[in-house]
Amino acid sequence: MEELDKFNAIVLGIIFDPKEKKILIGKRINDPFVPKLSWCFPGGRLKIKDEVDKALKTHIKKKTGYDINNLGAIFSKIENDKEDLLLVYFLTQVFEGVEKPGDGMTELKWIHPKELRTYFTTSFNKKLEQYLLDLV
Amino acid sequence: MEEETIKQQTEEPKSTDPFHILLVSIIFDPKKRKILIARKEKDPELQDLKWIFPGTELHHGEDLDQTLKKRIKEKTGFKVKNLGAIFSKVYPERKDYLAIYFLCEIFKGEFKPWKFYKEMEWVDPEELEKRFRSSFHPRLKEYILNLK
Repeated sequence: MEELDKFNAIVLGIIFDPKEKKILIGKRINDPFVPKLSWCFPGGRLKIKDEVDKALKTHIKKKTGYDINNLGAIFSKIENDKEDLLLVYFLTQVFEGVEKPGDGMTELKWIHPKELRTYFTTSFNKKLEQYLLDLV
Repeated sequence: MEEETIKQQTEEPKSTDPFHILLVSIIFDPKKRKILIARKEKDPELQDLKWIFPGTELHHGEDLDQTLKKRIKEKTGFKVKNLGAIFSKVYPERKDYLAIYFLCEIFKGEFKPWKFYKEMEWVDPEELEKRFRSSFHPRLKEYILNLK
């Protein structure tokens, strides 16, 4: 029987505020997977036995203080230069909670999708960027 | 479960183990409002024949979009446009398999099932649930029923 390759999986939330047309990003230090990462979308590693939707909500709650509605997966990619790291992005909206950075996040900021590119030090996928620009 | 490549579990995975990744296609015909599903030849590793969404496992070094399109062409005969990820889940039956579902539309090619597909068929979204033997995730179901 063929042995299939294995991947570490990260679930990430694009937290969108439809009134202000802004997206929440967080600044973090010492990311275990991508050391040079600074500003990023909040999320975390999916573990065996996790349910995707619940894991996403738990990671976002810890990192931002917010409870979110998950509107569904919108994008997925393999991280550049890391062929065994899979990222899955979900569109989400805050429904309650008080903003509070945690779990490795040092700062949170709401920004317009147009500004995202200037905050990301790692490559920002064009397809994802276009999707987010189309939100507003 | 509605996919083809899941094998029988041999041992219990640890919580920090990585995942096998399955790319699954929801191939939608907006004109006829139908979805393409297939049924595999009898497989000694699977208990019985069942209807599935065409899909493929992902290997290291492969690009998601290109791999999906290439395998869908091989398995269905159709060239598809990948409209993007729409859903993701871990299988309740196999917790070390993560599936990512992509909405696809055909733009070229002809109906030509892969040699291991016994049957391939366009069905109404409302009919899908009857065809699957096990879990059809309610969220995915809702998404598909809302396709226009």
